[in-house]
Amino acid sequence: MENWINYLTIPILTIGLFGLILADSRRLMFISFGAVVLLLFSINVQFWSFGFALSKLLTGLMAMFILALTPGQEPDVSPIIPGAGRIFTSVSFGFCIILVLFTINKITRFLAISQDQSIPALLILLCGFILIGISQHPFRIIIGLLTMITGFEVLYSAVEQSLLINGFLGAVVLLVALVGSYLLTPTTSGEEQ
Amino acid sequence: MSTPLIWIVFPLGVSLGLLFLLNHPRVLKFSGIVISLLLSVIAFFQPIGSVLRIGDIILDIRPDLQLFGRSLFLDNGDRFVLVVIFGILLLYYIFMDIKTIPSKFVPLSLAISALLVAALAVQPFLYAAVLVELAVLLMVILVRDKHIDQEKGIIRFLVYLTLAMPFILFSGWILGGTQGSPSEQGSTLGAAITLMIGFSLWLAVFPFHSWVPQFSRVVHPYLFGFIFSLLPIVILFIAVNYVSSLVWLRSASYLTPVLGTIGIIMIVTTGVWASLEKDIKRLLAYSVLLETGFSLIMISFKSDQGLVLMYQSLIPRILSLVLLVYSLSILQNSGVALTNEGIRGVMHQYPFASSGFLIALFTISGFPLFASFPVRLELLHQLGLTSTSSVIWLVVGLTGFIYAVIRVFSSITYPLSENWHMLENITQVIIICAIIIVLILSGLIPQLMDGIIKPFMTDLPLLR
Repeated sequence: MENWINYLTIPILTIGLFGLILADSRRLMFISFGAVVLLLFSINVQFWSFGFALSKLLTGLMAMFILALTPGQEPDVSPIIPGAGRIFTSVSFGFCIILVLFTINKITRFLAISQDQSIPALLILLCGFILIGISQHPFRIIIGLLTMITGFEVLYSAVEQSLLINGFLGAVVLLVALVGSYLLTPTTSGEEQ
Repeated sequence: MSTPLIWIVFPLGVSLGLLFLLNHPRVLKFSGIVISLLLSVIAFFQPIGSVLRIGDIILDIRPDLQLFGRSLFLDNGDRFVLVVIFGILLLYYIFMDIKTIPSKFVPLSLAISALLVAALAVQPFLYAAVLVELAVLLMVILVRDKHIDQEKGIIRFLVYLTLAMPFILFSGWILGGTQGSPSEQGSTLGAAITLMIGFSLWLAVFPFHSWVPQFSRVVHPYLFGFIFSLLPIVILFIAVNYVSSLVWLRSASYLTPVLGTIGIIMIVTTGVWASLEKDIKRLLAYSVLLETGFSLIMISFKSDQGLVLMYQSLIPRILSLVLLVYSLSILQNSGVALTNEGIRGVMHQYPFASSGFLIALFTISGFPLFASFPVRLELLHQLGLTSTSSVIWLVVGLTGFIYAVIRVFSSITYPLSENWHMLENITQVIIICAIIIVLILSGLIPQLMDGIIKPFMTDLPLLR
């Protein structure tokens, strides 16, 4: 890695991702997601211009707040089956960490970006995939989508510098949060199909 | 004046303006009809690159528009797809029932169409991924009904289509780096794989198709019909445009077997599942998947005949889906449960809606006398020239689907003791009869469809 501080930042970010996967309340998920976005900013700012890294941070935080302001939501997000389910999810993410660590040299060479950025980006991307793949609760799936796009954004912004495409990606993050919030708004009559 | 200004910026601007008229559904419907008619007529009659005369006003129509350093490009090769897109929009506006379809349909569908046209027009291609994603997000807002619990079906739709975006962007980046040079085989193969996964997610190709029946079950059939009339066709055009622009990809030896095999797997699996299906709304989803399977086989021929067949199949495909969802909407809005049990004997109360529904299913199955028959027959002939086993598998899949259609037929026409009534109103009867007549005429006189496509044929993209 290029900067020694990232030996500290990346493990904390990984703990944040574990928190995101295992959290059973909306508040804990928001805290974990916010922590991940902040830590990612602290890494990105070492490689990108301050303004560009800040724009990614603000987009992530705004998406989080849009979801947080969804009216009429119960605090519990019924995560996974307690016990075995948590172990299964943790082990899945553990395998993802091993996968990233064993393939990182090849990936870094292929993408031509620093390991400081590619490791957290890949971990966030895979965490997003796990949330999308395993979760049943719509809120967790929306957070999973946002996590996946956040991880992809870092990889993609590192290789593709176009402001327009990065602007579009920011718009997609915000719109996913907005549409997610719209979807999570409770039905008015409670009628089920 | 440039073409993206006419078919992208103008409808986007109008859709924003129409948002202020949500309390006036009649005005919205009328505006939608006028705008979509205008845009499809201009696309049909006005060659791009020549001048448009409206009285004393002379407009020079250029094919490109520069926006933030990127280019939006629509030339004569795109006129056919523009006619198709705004034609679909026109049909859905004309047949829209303002009492049951939410008024947000008009502005949102106009914006979705404009974004999909932008996805077709944008250069470089990788921006199409983000534009399609924006259109998908608008589709979620379009289909969301606050009175029904639809979360799971819609979220699956959102997840699968959002997952496509990273794959397409990534393949675009790899290709940008290698410039598609055949010498960098590792990179180009990686790009081809990510590109295929991206397009498979967009088109709900096997094995990424499971969300379509779930989605169709929770959304209004009319809105489902609109989305699946538009989205797969635009994606197919983007795919054909893109593949035909990359020499190494269109000449790749694996393209034909991969596309052909996936198409046949889609038809067989769809046929099998449809034959076991009891929910009519899910059958609607299978009919869409069946059509996508046929389109993939047509593209896999990598010949002029294959693509011409695909273009010819679009009009029967759109008309049959419109008829299917229109008839289903009538039944659903009347409180008929859309299951095999629920529609038992419904022909006695809704003879025209039931007939429309059955004829649409017969058309999709490729029954003789209906519009899809000549195309299906030619497809089987072309496929038989290269692979007999593929024809057998295709017939197996079709048999499964036809079995499902026959089951629906026997359920709808189940003899009841009560007398016959006609609970549809006169407008509905006229609309259903008009579409049925067009479908039958197109089957009896296939030259009709050829006549519509012929003026565009010289400019359409071909995988040569």
